[in-house]
Amino acid sequence: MADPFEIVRDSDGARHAIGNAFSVTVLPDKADTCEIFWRNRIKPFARPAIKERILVAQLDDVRLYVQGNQLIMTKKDYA
Amino acid sequence: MAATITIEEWTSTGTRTDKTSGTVRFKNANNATVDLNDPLVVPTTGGGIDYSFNKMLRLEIGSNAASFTQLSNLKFYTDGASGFGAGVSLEAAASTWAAPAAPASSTGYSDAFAYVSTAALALSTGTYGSSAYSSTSTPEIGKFADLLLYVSTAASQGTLSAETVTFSYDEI
Repeated sequence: MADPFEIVRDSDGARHAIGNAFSVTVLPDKADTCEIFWRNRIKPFARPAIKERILVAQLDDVRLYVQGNQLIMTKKDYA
Repeated sequence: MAATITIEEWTSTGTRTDKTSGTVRFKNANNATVDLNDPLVVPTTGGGIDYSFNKMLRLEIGSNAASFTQLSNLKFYTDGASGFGAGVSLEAAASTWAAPAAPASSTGYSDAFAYVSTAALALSTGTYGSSAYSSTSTPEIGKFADLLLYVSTAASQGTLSAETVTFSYDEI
C-alpha cells in the first residue's frame, strides 16, 4: 500500500511530507535539527501482526506525531 | 513503500523462525515450537525458581530492501502491565548473540514491563538517524531482544494468557 505522505527535502534544507489531504513542513534551524521520518511499530504474536506507521516531524527536541487525523506535538519520544 | 521487517526467533545462528505473526512459547528447551512440551514447573519449596530458556528475538529486513533509505532507533517495549499474575516474571535485556540456555539467575536482565513507549529498551543507538542500517546492511539488524521468563512458588499452575510486546524503528 502506498504511503499517505511523500517525504522530500528541498534545496534550502526544509523537509516536507506531502499528502493528499494536507502537508507538513519543517523549516531548518541553524543546527539543522529538522527531520521528517516514519516511526514503525510492530506488535508481533498476533495473527496477523499489528503494524502501525506514524509520520514524525522533528525540530530540535520537539516532535509532531501525525497518525490519521490526530496530531500530537510533544517533547516526549514515544517509541 | 515501507520496508518489510520481520521478527525472528533465533535458536541457533542457523535456525531462525519468523514470529512476526506467531507466538513465542517460554519453555525449558531451546526451540521455537509452540507446544506443551518442556513446560516451566512451579517450584514447591520456598525460594525455588524455575527459569525458562531465554528467547532471542531480532528484527530482520525482508525481501524489499530497496524500498527504504535507512532504518534506525530500534526499540522494544511493553504496555507496562504484566497480566501473568503473581509469581511469574518476564525479564528483558538487549544482547548480542549467545545460544539460549536456562540461566541460574536473572542477573543482567530487567523487568520487561518497566520498558514502555516513553522508556523503551534500545536495540540500537536510541535516537533517530544514529547508527542507521541501510538497504545494503545484513538482513538482521540491531541487538537481540533477549527475554527470560521465570516462575516462583507464588505462581499458579496452567498456561498463561498471552502478552503483547512492541518493536519500533524509524525509517526514511
